[in-house]
Amino acid sequence: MHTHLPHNPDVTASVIFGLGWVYLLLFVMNALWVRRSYAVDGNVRLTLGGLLGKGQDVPVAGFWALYAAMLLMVATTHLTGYDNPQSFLLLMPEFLKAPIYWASKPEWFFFGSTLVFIAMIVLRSWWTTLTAGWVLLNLSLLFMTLSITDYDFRQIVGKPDNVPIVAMLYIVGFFTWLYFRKSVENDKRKAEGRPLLEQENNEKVLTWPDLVYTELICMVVVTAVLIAWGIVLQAPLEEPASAAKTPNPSKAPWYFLGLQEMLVYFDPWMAGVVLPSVILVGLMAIPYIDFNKLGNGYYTFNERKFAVSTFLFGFLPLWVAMIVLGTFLRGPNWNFFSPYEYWDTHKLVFLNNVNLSEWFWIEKLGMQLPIAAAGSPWWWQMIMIVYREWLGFLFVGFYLFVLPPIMAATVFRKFFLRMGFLRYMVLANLILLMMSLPIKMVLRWVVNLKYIVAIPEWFFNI
Amino acid sequence: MPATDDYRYSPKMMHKVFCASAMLLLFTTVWMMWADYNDEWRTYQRQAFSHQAKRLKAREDALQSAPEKKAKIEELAARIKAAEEEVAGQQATVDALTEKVRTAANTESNHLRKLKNERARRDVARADYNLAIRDNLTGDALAKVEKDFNTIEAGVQVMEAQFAEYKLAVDLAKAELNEVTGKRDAAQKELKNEKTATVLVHAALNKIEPDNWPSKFKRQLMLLPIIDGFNSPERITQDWMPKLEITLGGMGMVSRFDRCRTCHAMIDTVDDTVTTHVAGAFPSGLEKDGQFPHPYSSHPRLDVYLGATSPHPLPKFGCTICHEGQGSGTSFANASHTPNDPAQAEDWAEHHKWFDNHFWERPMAPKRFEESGCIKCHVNVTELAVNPKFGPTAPKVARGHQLVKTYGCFGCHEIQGYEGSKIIGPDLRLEPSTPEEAAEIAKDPNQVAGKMRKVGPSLRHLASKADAGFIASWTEEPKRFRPTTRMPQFFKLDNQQDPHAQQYNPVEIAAMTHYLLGKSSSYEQLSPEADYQPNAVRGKGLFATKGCVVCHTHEAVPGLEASFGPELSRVHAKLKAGKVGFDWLYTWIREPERYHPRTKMPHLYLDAEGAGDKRIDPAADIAAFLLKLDGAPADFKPTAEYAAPTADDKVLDELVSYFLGKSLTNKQILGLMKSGKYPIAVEKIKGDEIELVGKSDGEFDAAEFLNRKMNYLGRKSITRYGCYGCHDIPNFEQARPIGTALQDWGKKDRSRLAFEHIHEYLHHHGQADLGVKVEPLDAKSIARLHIERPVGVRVAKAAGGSLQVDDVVLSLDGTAVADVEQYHALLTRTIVGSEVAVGVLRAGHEQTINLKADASLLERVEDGIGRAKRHEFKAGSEEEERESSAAFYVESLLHHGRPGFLWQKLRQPRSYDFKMVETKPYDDRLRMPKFPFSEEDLDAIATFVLGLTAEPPAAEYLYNPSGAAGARIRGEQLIEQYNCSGCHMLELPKIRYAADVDAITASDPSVEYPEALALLKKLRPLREGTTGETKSVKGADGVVKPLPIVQFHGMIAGAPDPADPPEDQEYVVESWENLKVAGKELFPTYKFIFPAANLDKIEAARGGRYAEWLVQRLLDQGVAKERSLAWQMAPPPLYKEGTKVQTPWLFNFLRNPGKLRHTTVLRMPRFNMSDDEAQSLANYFAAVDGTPFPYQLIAEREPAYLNATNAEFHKAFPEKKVDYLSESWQMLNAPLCIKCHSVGGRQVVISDPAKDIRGPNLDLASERLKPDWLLLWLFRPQWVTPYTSMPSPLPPQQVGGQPRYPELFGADGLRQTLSLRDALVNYYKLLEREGKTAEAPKPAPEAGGGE
Repeated sequence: MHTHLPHNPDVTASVIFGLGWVYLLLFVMNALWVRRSYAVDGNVRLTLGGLLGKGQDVPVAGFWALYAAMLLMVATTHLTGYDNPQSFLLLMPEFLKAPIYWASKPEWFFFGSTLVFIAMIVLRSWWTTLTAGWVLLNLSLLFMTLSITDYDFRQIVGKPDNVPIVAMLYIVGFFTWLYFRKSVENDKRKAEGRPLLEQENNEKVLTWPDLVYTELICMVVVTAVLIAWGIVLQAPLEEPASAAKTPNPSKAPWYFLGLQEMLVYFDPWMAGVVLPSVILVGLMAIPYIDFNKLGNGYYTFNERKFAVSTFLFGFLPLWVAMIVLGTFLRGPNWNFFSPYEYWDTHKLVFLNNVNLSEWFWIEKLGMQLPIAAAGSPWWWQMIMIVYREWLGFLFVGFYLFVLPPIMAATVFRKFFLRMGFLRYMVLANLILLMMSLPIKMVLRWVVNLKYIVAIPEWFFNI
Repeated sequence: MPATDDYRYSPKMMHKVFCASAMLLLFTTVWMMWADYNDEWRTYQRQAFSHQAKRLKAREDALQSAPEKKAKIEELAARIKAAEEEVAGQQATVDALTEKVRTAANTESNHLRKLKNERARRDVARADYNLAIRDNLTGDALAKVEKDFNTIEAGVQVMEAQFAEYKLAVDLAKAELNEVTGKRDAAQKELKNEKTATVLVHAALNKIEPDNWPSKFKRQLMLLPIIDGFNSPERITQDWMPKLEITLGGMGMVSRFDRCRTCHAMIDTVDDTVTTHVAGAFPSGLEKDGQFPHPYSSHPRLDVYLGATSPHPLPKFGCTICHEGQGSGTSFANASHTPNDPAQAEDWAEHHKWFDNHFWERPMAPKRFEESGCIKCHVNVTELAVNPKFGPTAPKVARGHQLVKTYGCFGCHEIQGYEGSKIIGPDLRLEPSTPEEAAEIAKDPNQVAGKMRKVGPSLRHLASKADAGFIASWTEEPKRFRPTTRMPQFFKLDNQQDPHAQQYNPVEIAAMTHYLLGKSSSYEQLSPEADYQPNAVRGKGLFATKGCVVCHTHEAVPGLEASFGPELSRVHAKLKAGKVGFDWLYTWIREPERYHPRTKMPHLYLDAEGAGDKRIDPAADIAAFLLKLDGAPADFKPTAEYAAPTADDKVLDELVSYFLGKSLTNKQILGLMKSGKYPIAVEKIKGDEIELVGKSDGEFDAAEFLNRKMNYLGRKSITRYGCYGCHDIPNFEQARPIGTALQDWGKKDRSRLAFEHIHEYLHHHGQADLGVKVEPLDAKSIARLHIERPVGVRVAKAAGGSLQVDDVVLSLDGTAVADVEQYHALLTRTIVGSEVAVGVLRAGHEQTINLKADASLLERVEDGIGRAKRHEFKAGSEEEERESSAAFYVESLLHHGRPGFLWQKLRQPRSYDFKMVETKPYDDRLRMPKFPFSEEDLDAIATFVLGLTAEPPAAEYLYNPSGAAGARIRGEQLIEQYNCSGCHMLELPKIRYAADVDAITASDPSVEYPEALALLKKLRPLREGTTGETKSVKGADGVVKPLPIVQFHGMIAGAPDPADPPEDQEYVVESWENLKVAGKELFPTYKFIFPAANLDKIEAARGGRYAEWLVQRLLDQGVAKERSLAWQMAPPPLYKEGTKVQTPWLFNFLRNPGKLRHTTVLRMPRFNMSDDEAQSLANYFAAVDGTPFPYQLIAEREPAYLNATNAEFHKAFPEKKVDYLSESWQMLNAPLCIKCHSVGGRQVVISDPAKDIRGPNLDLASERLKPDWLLLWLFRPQWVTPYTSMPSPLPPQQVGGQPRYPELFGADGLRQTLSLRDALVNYYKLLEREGKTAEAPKPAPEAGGGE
């Protein structure tokens, strides 16, 4: 008689039914994997902690078969039990939502993505195995399917313009995996003195038909896919544009979300003009900075550790992760939201940020900011501004001018010697500028620092 | 290069892959084309074509098979055949003549060709000449061009003449041929004409379903994908309304394009077979009833909307200006259709892929709000409810408007209808509160003053009326004293249940009471004569007959249940004790405007009459009745006592300090509290703090300071709660309304509505419910529970609360519960969260249990939706309507919609403070009071408020007419404002019955003057009485047969007596109309007598309930012996008033109504009406009857008329020495009129008051009545007012009758009647000139009507 009244309609019949098909697909994929595993993986000896004495040889494929069977069961449950969503229980469990809630706080998100980045490099020989890749794929898909049962997750991920971003994540993941897999293989071969992959399977092909024909086919297929996409996933039209009423949140196109994220931490002049220019110029400068002649024409990591790590750091945690953050975690009023959190416009976050000079003069010394009296000559104003911001200037000066020599003398000693002063300084400054983003992000999140040098009089803030 | 093994992939495989990818691309391309072609609207349009074709085919068949048509065509065919045979007989002649025509025509056309060339040459020559003039040529050059022209022109002239000859020859030859073949050709032409309708229908049909294969093929081809882009029969239909613009976000205004007709293809299709009224060709309804569901139906009111002759023709209005929605959308979902309730939403989602597109800011109005859009242009609203031509077209939005006016919402929420002086919507604003303000606004051309009065009584002299105890008790909870009150409740609401408010509220109430009494000023009260002993019993009678019950209800005088004014049963429990209280009521009854200058209560002229023992002071008697007074006024003692409010000093100080904290520092406040000296100088204070400051800035003693603090808090509280929005309160003359303005609330940005925790609230609260299920008492449980009186409802299921199964709920908050419906209705009006006193019969004992009625609204809604889905409601039942309505609003609320917000705000205004009061300052709490609205009221108010968008369409669309239409609108508003229709019938009852027309006997015109009949027909044109409808009735012979329905306005003189046997039950109805039934003329007061079974319908009169009630009462009490006499005592129906009275007189009468009739038991009261209002109302009556206003020419007073009449008079009676008017004056003074009317300064003497009836004084007639009406009245008064006692003074004489007044006008009755009229019209002139007539002619026997 008394029906349960949910606060949000978490799952609906159509969602459950749709998920049933996804699970069925997962089952089919894993059923095929069972076949492969049976042919390749062989047996594993189970002892069950001595319960089985010396143990019993069990085919690894058996575990995959068990997993696949479970998926089939889950799929059947979805496909048959969809008409009573109120009492459906195969949902994202709350105990999993809690850690994700924490992981999606910005500092932990950034920390976590950096950690994943490091793990990716350190554990590269493990996670690039086919089985590990398959396990990761399965885990990520299970995470998605379970999360889809959450109303708020569905609202965010299911937006038509967010769907390609999910696809992009899988594509980026796959190609990163592919790179590391080939590099690990090549590095191993090099260590063992075997020929490289590229040498062993000579991949030189003819322009016609191998290259051009393939390109033509790709073109045709991509056109077909785009048409199908255009029909199935209609353009997400919103309300007529109005200057008086802008959407909340107002988001940049997905590929610029990294830039938009930078705008939070930097002066618009810095984030909108200086840093993007530096990124473009920096990317152009790479060939001239790079002195490492190894790694040309073949996959390798060990021979180009610094170059690959630096690039990937800039690309994965600082660009792709920022897009993810901007797309899925930034909600109304540009606040952070967990993927399972309702995008409530009423959520307020303490965002009273402080400039370094304010912190120094007002909070530490208990004084007023030194400001030149109105009407004083320009040079006096200038002096006063520099006086006011002296600590910031000191830090920035130290960061940009003192750190590079120190680095040259220590961690980058080899680099400095091989590159010469000019090339080294360019490299050092590019790296420092890149690192300024995570530094400022962390400072903002942790101590609410706004600007290190704040000179609104000259529209100059750092 | 040949294929080798060096290839990366085998070419064969590549070819296969390429082939597959190419196939894929082909497939997706075709898919794309299909997706583009497969538009949703195409299906609808195709179906629409098929419906149209079906209808056209049916019409074609009907046309062809119509017997008279068939016969005609056959006859024509025969005629043609005969004529052809005739022609065939003279074939040789015909051939020769045809050849002749041909040759002549040939010659003519050949000549014409040449002529045309020459004409062209001539034109060139003329142009050359003109150019030469332009170029200033002279001499030879000019002469040459002129000569050239003349030469050619001469040639042309010759040829023109020749052409005329040829032409004539052709005509002659044709005529000659026609001689022979003319008959045949005429018949053929006739046949063609006869077939035109069929041909047209067939042509229309041919367009949809061609009858030949090339056309069929072409049509099918044009429908194919891609090709359909080139002028396909299936296409998007667009209506473009360039002047009806729409705002699209920040893009400015753009013209409207409505594509609705793409699917609703037949929306404006008129049924051209029906000629009498505008009917839709595709009636809306269910398919199984042979009707057409959406989108295939025609608009249900083509006479009002879309039709070419309607006021809203399609090309000018389109669809979305009224219905809203996305006009450019071509799919069900994109058009932003809006479901009327969640069940429909689910149905649409399932069948039409519907979703709530919240990105489109103007979703279509759901059915429940379909009237909202009307008020964009119909800013006066009134005409949507009362409309002479179309009836009530938008009654719901009009009701919403009415509710807003009645409950005075505009007191707090201004509804500004003007932007400068430009009209932007309905205007509901308070009138200027002071004359200075009014003058200020009148001076400013860019301002228009508000017109609304404050709806509550003035509180300026409150101290003379009530004591503090009553005021406090009333303020706290008005409905406790008067359950039907319209005053909303401000206290004991949802957000005042916490200890904070519980502590503060009583102090606030005490302070407000203190302020109101303290600031109350005295006014001059009236008292009855000192020794007058008021008589309560007589007072009760006067209460009924003097018209009090028109507006007020009193339990001792049941019958009318009027709710215009407050219910008065308990006045004796609220007024001050002793003479003060009595005098207050006495003054209020006698001269209400003394106490409250802007009251709607009229001055009733209840003046005391008589002296000594015979003195009757009606006002005092009525006051005694209302106060249950038995003794002298000074003995009055209220029947209830109220404890005077007390204010806890500590809490008072706390509150005062709290509010002072907004402008003073804590230190200043502490100082003030100690010393009583306000720290800021008096002239610097603008706000309510002025109450804390003395004139001399001095310190106060403790008692005075307490008084000051109370005044301050009282004033502050009145400011905060906005009491002055409804009441006139001292010091609040300049105060502005406290609420949100509503003029554009209908488009308010949803993100600006504060929904707060309403979802949480409704999840667990919001539904008044005792937590039990109740059922009606059935016989079984009555027996089982040994119940003596079967009243109340039985608890059928209980969940362990205070109520148990088998408890019988007898009452809620003191109101008896009659049935389950009422149980729920009463519960919805309780305040959620507060306690309800439930009267319960448990185990034979009555007891009262106090319970909190609180449950989950969401649960109720879910339950309702579930029941709707399972079809558990009776189809179309009120319950279903109510539940789906609630579901709609809750759904809207959950999606942050405006309707839902509004609904909940009106239902439970403070619920938005749920769990908010804990964290917000006391001052910020919501203060909107709870009004006693039913859920239907809420629906109506929402319909009105959502229509307030302040987006006026182009000026030409605005409906704000002047002239007669405007006068009608303004008049209707005033009639509503002053409750005119409470007393007066504005339209008589409408009777429809199945008439045996053959048995109806026509009125006899031979007993009337022909001139009289002509005048009757002029003033009351004959109206066709039959409606064209029929009703099947069992006749006297037992056979059921259809009889035509006759419809007329009239009064029921006799209703069937239930005691009679069924076959004897009959109606006697007097028609007031001049009717024509089956060719027979029926003059007014025609008595229709028909069996009760023949009655189709009686539509109640518009207004006049009191008159009817009073007539019955007078009859029942024996005051009047006959119904017609009783009617003469009651307020008269205002039937055709515009043809009767002169507008200037009516204006004066409305401003200051003099005593008119001597027969009535009450007088027309004087309303507190402005000149403007009286003018408008006077104009209204003229406008309704289509007569000119505001002034009318009285031609009978003009010299032209008088001279002509005089000349004619002397011609007819050459011997007469006096002039026409003098003789007329003698006629008027003849012993005819004087029998009942005072004439020419001589007072009428009524010898037997029981029998004789005194008519109105005749001196009133000349300024009051229109001459035509007056003449008709003199001819036959019963034609005008059937119940009158006035006889026809001079009807046509029967042959051989005695001559009447032979010395006047030669005893010619017609002349005498006319002269009476003229004498009355020129009354003052004649009175001045002729004075009293010394000697009156002797009456002849049988003079006048006599009876």
